Amino acid sequence: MPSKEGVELNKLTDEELIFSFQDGNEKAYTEIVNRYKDKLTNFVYRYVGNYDDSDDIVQDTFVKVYVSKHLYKEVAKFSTWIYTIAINLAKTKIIKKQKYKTFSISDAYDDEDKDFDIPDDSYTPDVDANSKFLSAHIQKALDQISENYRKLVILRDVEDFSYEEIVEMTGLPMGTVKSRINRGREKLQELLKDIYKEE
Amino acid sequence: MLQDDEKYKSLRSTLKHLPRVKAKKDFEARLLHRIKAAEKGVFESKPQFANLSPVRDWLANLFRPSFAPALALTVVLLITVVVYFAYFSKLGDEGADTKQSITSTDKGEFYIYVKKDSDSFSSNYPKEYSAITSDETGEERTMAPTEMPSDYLSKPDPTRTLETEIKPDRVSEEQKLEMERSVDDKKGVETKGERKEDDVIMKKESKGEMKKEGKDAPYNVRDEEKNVNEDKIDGYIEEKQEAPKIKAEEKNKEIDQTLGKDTNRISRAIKDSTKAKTSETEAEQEDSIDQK
Repeated sequence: MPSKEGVELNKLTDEELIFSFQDGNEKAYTEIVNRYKDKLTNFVYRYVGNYDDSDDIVQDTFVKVYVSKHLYKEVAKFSTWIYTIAINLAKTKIIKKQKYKTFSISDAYDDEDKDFDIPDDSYTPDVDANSKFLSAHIQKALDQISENYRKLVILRDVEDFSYEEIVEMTGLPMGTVKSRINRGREKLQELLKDIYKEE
Repeated sequence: MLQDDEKYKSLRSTLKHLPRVKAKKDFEARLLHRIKAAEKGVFESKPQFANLSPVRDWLANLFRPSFAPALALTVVLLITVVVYFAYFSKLGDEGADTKQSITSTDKGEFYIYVKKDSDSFSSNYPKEYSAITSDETGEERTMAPTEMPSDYLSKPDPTRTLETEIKPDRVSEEQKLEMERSVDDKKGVETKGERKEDDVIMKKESKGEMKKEGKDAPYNVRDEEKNVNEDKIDGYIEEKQEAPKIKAEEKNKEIDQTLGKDTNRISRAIKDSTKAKTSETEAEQEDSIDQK
């Protein structure tokens, strides 16, 4: 059974929690982690396309929140702030990944028969076995569209943020956000034609 | 906005109903570990010599490893500058010993006291600084001559005459010859007939050059040929010189025979005239050889 203090923390808004953490309440931080760990993991996983990387990014996001707690000001929603941190970290990770992609192990050794112990990236923690195929297919389609469109489409259609919130998170003009979301949807629909036929 | 959302309604629902990915079970534990590591890193990044005294703190800051290259470069530059100025200041001192250093003329006009050639030493000493007044000496007190920087254009002091000294090692051959000639003239000895001095000098010079060439020039076949030709020319000259002599002697004999011993005086006169003629011909021949 949760304690009195715990019950009170559950009732607090995100902004109240972060202010409480700024005052030195460590439990407020734990509450923030509990609220956002799955949300952020889902968002980052859809954005990056790799579960381990997404876990790593989310961990870094919470560390950043812990270390830079004093930087939050009540000009924006806490969710906007924490998602902005996650987006920036994910971007950095994607750029790093793109750099490492230029180096291929097989090119270096030039030995096709040799096997390498490469970790399995195809692992997804989707619980439902029936939706596993669908989820993988959609994720593949998301990975194929441009990173600028993907991010906005996920924020709008997967995480269900408002346009205003997305504008705040990304710092882009409203028109740009809308047009990019529409273009992203168009491309995604083209890629997922087979699924819609079945439906 | 809403129209666009409705347009892609099916896609939106598909994306919205995607299975939610959850964080790993040990997420909190790993996060706690990371936070501790981050806190350590934050404290480690701060300088570890907070308890040191201000001087030691400053020194520790100055000699931190990141400053090592900059410090080394500074030290090297300082040493270079010190060595450079030390070396060139020595050179400057050596130069100052030999030169008279003239400072700026801001302190007033620059006076130069010219030493006069006279018997009394007192006149050479600037009267301004003399302990004896003009009343005591009876001489009129005159101001020391002033010299401005532009005075190098002025005429030289008439009291001082410049006598050029001809150093023996710098006397040219021409001057030597002139000197010798002047000595000979004084003695009353003629150096050479009616010829001009310039001709003699030219000849001497040319001979000197020939001698030099003979000494210095390396052994050449052309030189050998030259020598042979010169010998031949000499022989021809000798023959030419002897031929009129023989002719003159023969003529004398004929005259003796015709006029007898009484006519000795007349024959002598004729001899003299023939001798004069022969001397003239010899001179002409020499000139022609020289011209060749």
